Amino acid sequence: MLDHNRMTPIYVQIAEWLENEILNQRLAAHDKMYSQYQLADLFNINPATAGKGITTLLDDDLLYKKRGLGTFVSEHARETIIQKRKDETLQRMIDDLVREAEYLDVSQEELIKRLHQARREGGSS
Amino acid sequence: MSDIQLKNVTKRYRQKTAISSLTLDIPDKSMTGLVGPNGAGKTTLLNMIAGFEKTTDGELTVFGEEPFDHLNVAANLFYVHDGMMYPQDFRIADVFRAFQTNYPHWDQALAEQLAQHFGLDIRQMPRYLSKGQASTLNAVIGLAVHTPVTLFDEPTTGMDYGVRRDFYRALLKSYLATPRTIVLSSHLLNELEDLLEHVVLINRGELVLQTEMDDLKHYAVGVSGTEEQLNGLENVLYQESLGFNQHFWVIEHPGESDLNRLREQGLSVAPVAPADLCVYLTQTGKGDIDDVF
Repeated sequence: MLDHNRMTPIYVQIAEWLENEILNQRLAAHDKMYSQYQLADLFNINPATAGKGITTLLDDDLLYKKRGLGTFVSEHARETIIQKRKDETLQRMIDDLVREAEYLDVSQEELIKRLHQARREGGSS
Repeated sequence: MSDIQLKNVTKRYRQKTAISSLTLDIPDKSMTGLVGPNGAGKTTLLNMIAGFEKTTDGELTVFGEEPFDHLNVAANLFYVHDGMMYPQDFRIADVFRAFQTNYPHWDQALAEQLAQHFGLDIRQMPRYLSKGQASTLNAVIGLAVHTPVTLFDEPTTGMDYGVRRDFYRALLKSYLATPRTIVLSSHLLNELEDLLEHVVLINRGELVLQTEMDDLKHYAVGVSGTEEQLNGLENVLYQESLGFNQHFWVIEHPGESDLNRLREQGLSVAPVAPADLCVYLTQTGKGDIDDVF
């Protein structure tokens, strides 16, 4: 699950994995977040690194703390993640896609046709 | 104040300076890796922290006290190293029993289960173990002894890859169950990079770098391209010629936006593994191995 050859730090990869857990609703709003020790055990990493991953989500208000009880998923965490991914990840991929299409002299019509086709074949949406 | 502190610690053997004015704080209840090339002074440093050797100069304190010949340090710090000796007529079971008597937090069940997992028969005598098995026994003891500070000097010497992997996993599990100060010297930083929180890199008895593992991973990047493309890059740590006018330089991480600029100039940018970085940072100026041939 972790990729050491990526430039992305391990704690960021942990944060991404946690966001995915919220996105695919394995963790719902107000569910208790995994502890840094559970994550350390699961990913075989130092608990401090796992803790940094959790802190990243706390800083983004995707999690909240209850004194003495632990850390929980925020009410609107999923929506926030979806919006963030659209604005950042998806937009960056689209920019790359458009740039590559221009290199290859792919017309707007062809690009859109290919997009439609990919969505049909992907079948997930 | 952390449990292990060094201030301008120096160790000299006759002419040779093994440790030279080293100042260092080992963070409590964390896992710290002590790395550096052969002869860097790792074992000397651990020997002094464990109280096996005196310092020549400077201040070294463990639990606030000078560790040499100190009972409190001996009782609360355990040092796993390959010079560990057991009485000639002891079986592994006897060794475990002796630890149980002398160390209040010794985990007998863990020691027995680990021994069994690693295929050590507790009826065997330690002196008949192979090199890898002897290291494994010492490591098992280091995991089960549960002292507030545990030092491991090259614990995986002679262990095969499977045993090393299980040892790292056992170390993590044991640390998660009982967070304590663990210092581990090793050549195999690539195998330890997820396990460690801090890294101390020494070379020729001097401190090169003390940092968090996460920061070490992003300390530098490897850039390759032609000499003209690379000239003008700043904070160069290492340079190597790849032939065909291609060069590989390691530079301090200049920040994401500068990296993107380099990529746009057609340079290829790659992460530098912590283990490789430590080699680059401790190059002794003898040149590349290729220069020998």
